[in-house]
Amino acid sequence: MISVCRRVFAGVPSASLVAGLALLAGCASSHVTEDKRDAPLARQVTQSAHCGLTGPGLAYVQTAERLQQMLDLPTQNMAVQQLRQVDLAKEHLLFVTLGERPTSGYSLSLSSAQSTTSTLQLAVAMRSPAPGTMTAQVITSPCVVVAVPASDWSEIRVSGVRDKDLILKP
Amino acid sequence: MHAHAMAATFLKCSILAGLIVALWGCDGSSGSIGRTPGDVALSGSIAIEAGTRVDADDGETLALGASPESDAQLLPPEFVLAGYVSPAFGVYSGAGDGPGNVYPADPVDIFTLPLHAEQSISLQPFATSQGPSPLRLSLFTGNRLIATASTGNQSDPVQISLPETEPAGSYSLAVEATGFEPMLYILSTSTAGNALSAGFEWPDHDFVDSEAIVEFKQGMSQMSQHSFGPQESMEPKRELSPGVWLVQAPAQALRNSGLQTQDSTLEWVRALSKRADVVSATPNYKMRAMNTTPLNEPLYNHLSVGQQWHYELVNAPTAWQLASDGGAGVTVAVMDTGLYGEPGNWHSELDANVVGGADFVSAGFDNDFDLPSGRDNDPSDPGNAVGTSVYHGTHVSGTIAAAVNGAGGAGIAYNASLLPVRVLGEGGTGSSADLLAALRWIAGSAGDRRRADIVNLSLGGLPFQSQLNEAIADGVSKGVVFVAAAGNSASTLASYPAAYDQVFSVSAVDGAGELSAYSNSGSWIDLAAPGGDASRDGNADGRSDLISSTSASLINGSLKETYIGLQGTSMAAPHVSAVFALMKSLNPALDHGRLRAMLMAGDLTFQDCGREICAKTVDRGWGLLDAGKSTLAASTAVVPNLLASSPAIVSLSSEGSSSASVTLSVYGSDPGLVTIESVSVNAPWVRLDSAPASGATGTEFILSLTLRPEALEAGISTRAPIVVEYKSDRLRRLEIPVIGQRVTDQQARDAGRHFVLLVDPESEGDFYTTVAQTTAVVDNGQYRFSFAPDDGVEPQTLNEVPPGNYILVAGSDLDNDGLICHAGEACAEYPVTGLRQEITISPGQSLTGIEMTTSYSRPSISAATPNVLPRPGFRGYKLLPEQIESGSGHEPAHKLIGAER
Repeated sequence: MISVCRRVFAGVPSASLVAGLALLAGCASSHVTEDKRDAPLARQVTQSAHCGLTGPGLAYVQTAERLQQMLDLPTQNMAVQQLRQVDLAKEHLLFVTLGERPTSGYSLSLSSAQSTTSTLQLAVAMRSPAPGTMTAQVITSPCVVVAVPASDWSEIRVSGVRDKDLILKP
Repeated sequence: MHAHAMAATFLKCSILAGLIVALWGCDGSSGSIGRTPGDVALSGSIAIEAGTRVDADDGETLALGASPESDAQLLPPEFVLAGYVSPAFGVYSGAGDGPGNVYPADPVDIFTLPLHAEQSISLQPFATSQGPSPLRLSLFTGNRLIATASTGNQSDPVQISLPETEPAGSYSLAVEATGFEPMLYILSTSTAGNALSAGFEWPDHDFVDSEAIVEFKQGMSQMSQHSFGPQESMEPKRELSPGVWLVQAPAQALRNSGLQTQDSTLEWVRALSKRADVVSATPNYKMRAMNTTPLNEPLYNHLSVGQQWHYELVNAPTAWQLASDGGAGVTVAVMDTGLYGEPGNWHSELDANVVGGADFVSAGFDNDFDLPSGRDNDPSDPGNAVGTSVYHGTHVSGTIAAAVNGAGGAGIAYNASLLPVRVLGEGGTGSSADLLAALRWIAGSAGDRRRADIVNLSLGGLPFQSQLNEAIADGVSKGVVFVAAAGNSASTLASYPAAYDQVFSVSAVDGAGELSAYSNSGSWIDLAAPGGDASRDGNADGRSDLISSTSASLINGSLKETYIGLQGTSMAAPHVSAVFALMKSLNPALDHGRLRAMLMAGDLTFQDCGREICAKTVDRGWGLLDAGKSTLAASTAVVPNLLASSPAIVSLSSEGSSSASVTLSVYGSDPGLVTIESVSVNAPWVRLDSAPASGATGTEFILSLTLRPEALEAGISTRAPIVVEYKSDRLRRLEIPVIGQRVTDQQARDAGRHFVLLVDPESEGDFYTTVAQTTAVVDNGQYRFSFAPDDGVEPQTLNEVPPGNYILVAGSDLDNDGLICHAGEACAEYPVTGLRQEITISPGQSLTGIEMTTSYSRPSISAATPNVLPRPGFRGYKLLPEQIESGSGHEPAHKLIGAER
């Protein structure tokens, strides 16, 4: 009974955390095809130092349910309304996350986007506190959320978070 | 599993199991509510609370044709009795053609009862719809008047006692109507003080119109934010903690109800509580401004979310008793990102305590673009230029000194002065040059007085710098105490400013008191405090161990004050700063050196050093902060080693818990060993199963005891002390009162003829519409009732009920006004009085084995019963005219007399 009860009660937050992590794709490197288009390919919806996602990676959101999973994470403190205003029929959301960081002073932002018909290549800029900078001693989980056209992307690559591109095959 | 977590989990399971039992009832024979086809739609029984008796000639009995009793009614030694008296016959003004509209004459009720020496009897008057009228309570022996008391036109109870000069024995009591109107009353013995503290009226606490505090189901909080909209049933005002919101009713929601504002607010709260995404919805109660501590704040009281875990982990409730001024007069500077709000209009939880402030963020890090860039006197936190902000400095400040104001939560030093000093700018970063300037400013130049007593530094990441070290040393020399976060790198490398010798360095623990995964450790750690850990649920409360405190968040596109959960050593340090503030309010002479000596002596932490040298660990330094011990240590008055018992009073009953365990612990300025001389109890009805032997020494002892009901006189509660003699500074004595009772009145209990009603869950105006009704008289200490399915054949009897949803209630109509369940009358609601729940009657199915309990007392509103709502102006449930008596098997009959049989 105790163990069952513990699962029922205590499992919720960690389960949602795991669910959130499960949405994140791993990273690997691969060849990129570039093809510039006129219309904005991707736009930054919001960024936050408290996204609640504990691992670095990409999460692709096509449905309201999946968005809700992201917003239910403990410690998440994003501009929720801006995310909800995105019409998921026209644009999908890409969460680019840095993973947990020990202090304030970390952030991600979108710097550029390129694509071919089925491949999207994004570059994000990461800021981190310079050595010796004074920071708030609060655990952060920075991310940037990018809206991309709701196409059948075969591959999305993101550079700038880690040494190698983060790759997602939606 | 950690023992602490396991215990908490077990408790939760017990509560869950208890709730399930409470909700579904449990018939002793069948085991549960049954649903079987048949000619019974609904049946069950109503138990009666112990000691319950009823006036033999109440108004309803007299109206049924009985004559007022001329003989005295016998009462047991301990009882609670409801009665009715009226100087004359009359018709209730405004009475319609419904039942119960006359009030029969019955000027006096006489009772005979055994009284023990100096026993007290209390009389609580209740007005009928005719308004208040005086009652007189008199005690006689034979024809000799011994004592008398009158209520006047007041609703306060009066009490009379058997004088010392009178021996125990049989006495007479008279309750007389001395005015012009009929009155109800409750007469009771004050067993163990219970009768005086019992509430006989429906709770009617004041609350804020059009506001509610709503807890959303886990995982739904963001969904609910989404559903907040003008067209929806609530508008967000402030997030009090993750998933818990102060919400406002849209004007439309209240206007449509057509009720008075208070009633419509309660209707709206009730509707909110039924939403699938809502765990609980309660009115936003107005708090009394006296004698309140953070314990009274809604966020603290909240059962599953709130501040209790991290405040109780550091034993803060004990500290609030010892330092009852909440740190008043002590100034804590928070060197951080500033505060949400603006001068004179800070976050509403902090505004009352803020004194001045300064902004030391230089242009390179500054982002308060609407103000002059660089240093100024405005410590407002502008948030981040890019992306959202958690208002770190606001969060840290809330843990220290959020005010007790009946809203949200509170800080540990809830009356301390808060001096916001902004040193962190965009993205929560800053420079050591700015910090240095701020530290110099706090200490003041030579000859100046310091600007703060304590400085909280929830920041770090700096290398050792001699200038900073000197600035801190200078502050310490002026009496400033520095507290800093140890850092979150899960590293043992020294992090500054925490690692400076004259700074208290604080590591972080989770809900189980274990070092948080991220927390730095090392020989430079001084002590630990709760910093939370999102990846853990160490206290098994079903939520991540985060520290809840004040912040601001973007809600529906605009910034609103909130409470949010964060984790980090940033959150641990302010717990220590706040406890230091409580200590300095008790003893302003405490400086860095004295505090450090106390810390090393084990006086500030959960560390039992005894006469040994206290141990220091790399994880938690001298241990986890203990606010209770800390404030005790700071008390300037010497408190010798005293034993305290938990619980403070033991109640044993043959109907309740018949055994108990008592923990004795040492409490004093310098807690040390005490020696037990003897433990004794001089009463045959209580057995000491185990107790420390004579000569035992220690700081904690456990006693266990069991009731021997066979040695008790039936029905009488008895009190005797367990006497513990022990030696500390001298021979001392602790008496632990034990109350024992053998309950045998079960068969004699009677709360008067009961009307059992099925009412429409939706009220119409002041009243609920009664759909079906049956009656029951007491039989062997309980009532049995049944309703028949509506067979569609005319005439429809009162006890026939069509399928549908109903509220099941039962009660007496002692004043015969056609209403049951108002104050002064017995009342039972299914499943628990005060917490009505709908019951569904389905076609062709029987619902059997329903159990309820009736009593004169009413539920009170507490943290344990968040669903009990006040009932302003509740007038009771309306009875149907009894033209046709039901076929329930219980014909209307004159009551059996509620004397002992």
